[in-house]
Amino acid sequence: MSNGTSEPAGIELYAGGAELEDGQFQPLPQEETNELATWAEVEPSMLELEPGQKGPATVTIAVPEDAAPGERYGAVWAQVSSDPNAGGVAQVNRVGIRIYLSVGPGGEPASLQLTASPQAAIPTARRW
Amino acid sequence: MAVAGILIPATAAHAQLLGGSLCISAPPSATLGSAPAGSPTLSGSLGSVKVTDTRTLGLGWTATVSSTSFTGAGLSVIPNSSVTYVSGVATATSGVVTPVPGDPLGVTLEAQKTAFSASVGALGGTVTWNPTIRVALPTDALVGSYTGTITHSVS
Repeated sequence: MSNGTSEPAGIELYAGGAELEDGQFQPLPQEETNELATWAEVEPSMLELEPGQKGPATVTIAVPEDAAPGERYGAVWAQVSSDPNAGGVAQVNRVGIRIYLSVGPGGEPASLQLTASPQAAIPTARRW
Repeated sequence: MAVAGILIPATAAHAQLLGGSLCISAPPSATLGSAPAGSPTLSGSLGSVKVTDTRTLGLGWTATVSSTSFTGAGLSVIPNSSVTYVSGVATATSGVVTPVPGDPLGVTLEAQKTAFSASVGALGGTVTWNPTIRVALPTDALVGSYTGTITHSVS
């Protein structure tokens, strides 16, 4: 993650669910969840960055051995919230990396670790 | 036993993923000002929202927007269905991008809606838009300071 603003930022990191509607990827709101979101964990859950500072985050997705086959959708979110002021509209802005997870029959369970590259505001992925 | 694969679009053939980033910048908060009791609506600008996509995969992005209800301690609740988000068209772009407003005339936010989307060429690009929100005020709304939260999600 990187903070490109001139103020320190607290960035909330978490995995959320998503669904496909008419072939369009639709993220779920923060308060809703799905199976994929419960399988994914983001460390740390909060990153405090000074202006211009970068920091790594790691996502681990652990698929249960007995997971039903099929596709799951989700996203890993980096979210910044403003403080609401009286008579005001508070804004929450979040950037996500989409996850398209396909669970198939047989074989060994795989886990995927995503780490942030120095330049990226979103992580790059490495499969192992 | 289950096996899982992760598909990051367009990268399955690459041994090493390319970097780049997807960023959104927006003003931290906005004020709609005030209206005399009995006014039908209150509108205001949310400030410029800019999405910068430097990922080199030509993936494009979609920005969705949602709203909470607007309320305050001891005040009426103005439901999010009374909030209309008007994205307008893109006010600025850079790079090879095709910006697509969700609905330039406005969408009501009773549910999450598409604010803006764009296809982006392999060299990245930016899209800026200047949304306003329009809140329909109940005729019997109690006088006071109301607050709500607008969430932009870009992926």
